[in-house]
Amino acid sequence: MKHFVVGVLPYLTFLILVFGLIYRIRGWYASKVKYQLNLFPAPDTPGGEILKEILFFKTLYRFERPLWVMSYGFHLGIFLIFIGHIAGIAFAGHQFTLFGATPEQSEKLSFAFGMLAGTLAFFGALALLLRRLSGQVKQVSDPWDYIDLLLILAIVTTGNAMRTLAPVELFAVKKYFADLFSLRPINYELPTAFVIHYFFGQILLMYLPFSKLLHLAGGLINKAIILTGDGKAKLLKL
Amino acid sequence: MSTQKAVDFLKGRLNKKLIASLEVCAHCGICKDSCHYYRASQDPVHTPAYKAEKLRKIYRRYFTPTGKLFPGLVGARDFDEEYARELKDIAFGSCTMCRRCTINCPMGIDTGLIVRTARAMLAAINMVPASLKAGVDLTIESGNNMGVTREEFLETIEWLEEQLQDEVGDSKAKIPVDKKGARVLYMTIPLEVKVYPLSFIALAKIFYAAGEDWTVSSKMFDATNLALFSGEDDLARLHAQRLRDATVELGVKVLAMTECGHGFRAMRWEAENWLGEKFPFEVRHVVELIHEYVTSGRIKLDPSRNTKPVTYHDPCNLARNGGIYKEPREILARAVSDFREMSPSGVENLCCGGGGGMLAMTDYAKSRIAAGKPKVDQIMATEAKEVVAPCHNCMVQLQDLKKHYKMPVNITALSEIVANALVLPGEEKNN
Repeated sequence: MKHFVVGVLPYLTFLILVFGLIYRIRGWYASKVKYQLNLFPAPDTPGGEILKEILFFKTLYRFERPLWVMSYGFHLGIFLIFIGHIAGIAFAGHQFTLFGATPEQSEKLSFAFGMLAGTLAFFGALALLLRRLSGQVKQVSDPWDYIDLLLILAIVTTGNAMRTLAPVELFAVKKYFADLFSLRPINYELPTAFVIHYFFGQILLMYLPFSKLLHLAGGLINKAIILTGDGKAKLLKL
Repeated sequence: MSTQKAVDFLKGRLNKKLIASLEVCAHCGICKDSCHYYRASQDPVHTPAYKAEKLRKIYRRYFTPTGKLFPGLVGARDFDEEYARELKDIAFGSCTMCRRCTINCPMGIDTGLIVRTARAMLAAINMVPASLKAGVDLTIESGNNMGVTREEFLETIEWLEEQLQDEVGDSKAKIPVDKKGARVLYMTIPLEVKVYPLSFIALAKIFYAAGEDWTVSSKMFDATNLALFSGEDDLARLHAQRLRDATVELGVKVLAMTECGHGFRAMRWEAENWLGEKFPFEVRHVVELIHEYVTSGRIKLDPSRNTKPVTYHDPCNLARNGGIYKEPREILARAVSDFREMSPSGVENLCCGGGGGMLAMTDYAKSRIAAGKPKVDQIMATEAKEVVAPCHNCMVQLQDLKKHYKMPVNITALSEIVANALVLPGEEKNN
């Protein structure tokens, strides 16, 4: 089982993620416009607005401040985690030496950023889940709304546990990924905490193209169309 | 009734804009405060995301891998007759497609497009509410939604011309009919000519003062395109084609749509896409023409003639969906002495509740009046005595709201306010 999760499943995950994304997004873009009802000449939006939306979730901030706190914290946490995983694993925690830190300082910084990101994502996801379970939002939710959040919570929790309760040697993880990327099947000796975290992570990646988590791909493009759509000429070209 | 036909229809309609709008909802629910139905009822079923979800469930069931495999998990639903009836009450009965939620969605989801698609699906299986359908059919049959004949129209115009001559004190003042090569073709609606002629005369007076070379068509005199709302695409296209043909026949440069939101939107923003051609004339809203006259000094206004406090209602299809919200304010700044802005205003202004063909659908009249309450609150907060709305549809809804909620205000077309402030040539010298 352990061998499957770390030795076989990752390749499957990769294929499902990549081909899933291609399949879904191709499906959107291949479809022809058969009936045009696409017009937002109204708001004259300066380019900066789109940036504000992407960087700061401006609409949420304007409409529901408490939700903005939850959502922004959550997404910022996820974003930092994403960057942190790439950098942290690639440099085995020594990424900050690039900016002049000593290896020990770098490991401490890496740990601190990990704590920050993990805490933001954990409490963000928890808050979003509680919000969804309460009152009106519950009525407009489907099972998969909860599944998405529970899955992310499981990943974040095991991730946090690995940083605090059951520390994992980053160098071993780096070596594992190096072997994985060079398609060399070896005998992996990886801690159970890592394997569980890794398993949930892969489930998320496989599920991503088929879930509403895809809002990360379509949402901003869509918003950009709405914010900048101007004029007849442009519409005719669409 | 074959519901499969509606599903097939949806398949043919899926394009990237629609798919994106169907896919990317994160169910965050902040759209609720954008919706006048929700604001009036505080009922979560009026959250736009929830209404759009009605179509999403079908989309997922038939067109996504997860919906096909795990319908229960992702909230996918079979499209059966019972569900079709539920969808009808949502798509026709509780959304005016004002698209306020769209501009306020972090993901830019076009709920208006989703609801319009649901309506078209229902139209494909003959489920358009009877009262709306009757309006569309009469338009297609007679060329206008009130079944006014050409003779009746000509007679009324003759009478209106006399009124105009009295108003301006010039027996040579004309309402030119079918004048080939005029600069502007004014596309009215039968309601304006037959029931509310004041705004027509006001506009004729403005054209007179501006020395505009204008005309009306005795062939086509209805800007209303109800099929835009019923979901019958081919009929919406047909009416647009007729308006286009009448305009081309007269060889005018500008097709000026009357004070109507969706009629303007249909011709200005949709029709060229429907008909697949670039029009050899410009489509403008009369508010744009008046704005041109006022700012270029072609007509002179005296704001001291409109002293009552005035507020302005932005029709959804003019502001959010049409891009016209600065012009009327610049006109009013010169036409009235006490202007008060509603909050929110411009592209963020609330729908009056009468849009999207809602006024034509008698079945949903009660909820329409209820959903107008936020608009009433907005108006009352300004303490204005005149509400200006450059859209006859909005005006009818505002009149209904006035009656029901006992608002102490007048509902006025923009042209009437402008005509009232109009300083006719010759008058200046007397002052």
